[in-house]
Amino acid sequence: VTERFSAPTALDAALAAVADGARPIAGGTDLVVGVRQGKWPMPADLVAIDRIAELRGIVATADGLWIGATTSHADLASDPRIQDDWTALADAAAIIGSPATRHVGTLGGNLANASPAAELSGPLACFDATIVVSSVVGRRRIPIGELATAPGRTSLEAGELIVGVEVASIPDAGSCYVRLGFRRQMEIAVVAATAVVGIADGVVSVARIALTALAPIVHRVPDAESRLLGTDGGPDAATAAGRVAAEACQPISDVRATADYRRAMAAVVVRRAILGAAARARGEAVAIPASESLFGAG
Amino acid sequence: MHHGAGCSVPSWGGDVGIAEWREGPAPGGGGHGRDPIGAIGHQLSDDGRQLNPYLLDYKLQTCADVPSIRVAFVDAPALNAGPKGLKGLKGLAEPPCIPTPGAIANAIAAATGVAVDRLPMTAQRLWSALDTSSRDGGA
Repeated sequence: VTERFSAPTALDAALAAVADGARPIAGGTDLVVGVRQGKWPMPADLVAIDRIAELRGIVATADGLWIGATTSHADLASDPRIQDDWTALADAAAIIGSPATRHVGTLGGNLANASPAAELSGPLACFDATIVVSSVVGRRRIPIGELATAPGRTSLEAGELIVGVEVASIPDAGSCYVRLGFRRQMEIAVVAATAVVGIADGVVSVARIALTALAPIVHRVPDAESRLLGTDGGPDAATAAGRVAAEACQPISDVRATADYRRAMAAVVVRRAILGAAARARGEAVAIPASESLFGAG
Repeated sequence: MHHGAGCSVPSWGGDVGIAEWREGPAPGGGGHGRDPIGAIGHQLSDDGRQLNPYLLDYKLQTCADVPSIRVAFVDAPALNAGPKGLKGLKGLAEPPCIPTPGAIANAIAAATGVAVDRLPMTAQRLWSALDTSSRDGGA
């Protein structure tokens, strides 16, 4: 039972509460649902951070974007800058949960929850995002690859709050996030993949690939990226990189799928993500979210 | 890819103005009949406990998954209406639930050359059937 609850409008007040042991809550789409499922008790001390204006919103910076931690998935998915230059992030944000989840669920919450299936982590890993965290002591910046450490665990220290995410633009690149699931809404990835592909003079000059729900944490796949670099980014190259990624993953068997099926599908979602990203890099239209438009594709 | 589906419903709405509303329940039944391919199904542990007892994990289709369904009525009144029957009336929404999974199963077999003989006919089960078939030198 929650005994203490505050909803400050100033970041300093929220940081003081977090330093005092309060759990931050924004949309509550993981925290409260987890309580109802019996995963954990309702925290005794909560601080709502959704009224802090400086934590919400998407702001252009010199080389990219600053995205506030309490920016909703719906706002990410509908932002024209994200749709154009960080398209995989829009693909992912557009298919988290349901319309209701996307309305209240937040970027910071998705990252702090550190699910192996976290929708936004793959795109942000491929964009080399930097996570900015604050505490009463000060601010520090964490590379996205060092945030999640295990399912449900992060490298955040006691008293630290995610305040925003920085992403830099990648010229001449396209990106794509593809998720395999049982249904289109209210779904968690069985497997998913993100690709960022840059093409210069007909040759892949930027290749970034991340796997989701295929290991304890969402992670990049350097071997698959190397395999794709220097190719034409076409179907044969995408298939080859997908196979390399499938060999690199560490799938588990659970209620949703067997490890063998996940490994086989890893190759498929990586191939589709690469082809979607390459198509976008060439200026071809691939609708957002890519998963829905690729539904049933080969 | 756009999904379309046809649904032929044996029904008899009689002649009392039912035609206007009878097209409502039929797609619902057909959509429900599609659940055996999209749902996750009961997952049981070795000792028989259900592993996905809540709707968060026991996934059913949502409105977003159901394709547009065209409805065609076969107007054949019930022959054995009996004393409680009225003008040969039949059920309307349940009938499309029943043949739809069979039609989908046959369509999967026709398209892939392998049969998925268990419900739900998940993508993983189809993949397993294809994998087994290719290892056995079949399709």
